[in-house]
Amino acid sequence: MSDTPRKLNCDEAIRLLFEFLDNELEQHDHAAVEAHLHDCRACFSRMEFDKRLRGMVKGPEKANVPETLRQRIKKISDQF
Amino acid sequence: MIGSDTETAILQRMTPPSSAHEQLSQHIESHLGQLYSTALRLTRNPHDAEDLVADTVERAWKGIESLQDPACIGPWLTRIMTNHFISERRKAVHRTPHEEYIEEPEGDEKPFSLFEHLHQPVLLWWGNPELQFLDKLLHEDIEAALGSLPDGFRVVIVLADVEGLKYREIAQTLDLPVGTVRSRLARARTMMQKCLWQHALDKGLVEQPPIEET
Repeated sequence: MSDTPRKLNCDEAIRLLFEFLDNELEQHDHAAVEAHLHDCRACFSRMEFDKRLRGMVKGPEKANVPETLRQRIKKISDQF
Repeated sequence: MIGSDTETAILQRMTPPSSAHEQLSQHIESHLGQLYSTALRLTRNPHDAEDLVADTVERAWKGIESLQDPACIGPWLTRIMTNHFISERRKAVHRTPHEEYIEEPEGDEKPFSLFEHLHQPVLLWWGNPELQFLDKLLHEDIEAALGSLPDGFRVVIVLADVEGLKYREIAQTLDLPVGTVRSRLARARTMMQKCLWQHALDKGLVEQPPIEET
């Protein structure tokens, strides 16, 4: 069996894009999307866009914790 | 000492390993901001988010005996929080059957790509209109789009994109088949992109000629 990734057209690559970004594709599909993105500027731009949008959804790692919540948590934890 | 092994075993059952206790305590202290952030994303208001975090922590302490691997405290807490959130939401919308709560509203979701809507040959645009659009988006815009999703869809986005869980882990957390997680996540992202597009049009962030509907 060849190690060369199978060729995808744009529609096929885009259909797999979410799962590609989630790193949830089988290795051969992941390699095929990667190869397509390497050759296709439009799909690469779309991948970058979706990736950045996803980063914005993720947002800041931590929120500022209100003091009231800190005190509640301490009170709860002290019981155990 | 007679039966010391047995006594040890009994003690171990009665008292959770101190390492688990210590690790939970440390984890809560160092990850409180992250827990609160996730709770805010789920509940969409600070008051409910505080309650959700407090309930999660209390349930975690009460159920610490069920924590088999202290190294998995993070996912374990996420699971407790998510399940508690879903349970509370179901109670709040008790008139709505389970499926209606979780499932997307009726209707077949048409494919939608925010990128494709922005990536039009508009003469006045120079540079990169897609990335310029993202630069204009505020955190509030993203929150509004996330908040517009049905609870069951918002949960999968939060677990995947905020918590960074794998599909398999989301499936375990929500007790759903992996295939359902995959399709729900794709639909949730599509819905969110539609919402962002509409939001951008409403706020005048984009001046886009109407896309021809087919």
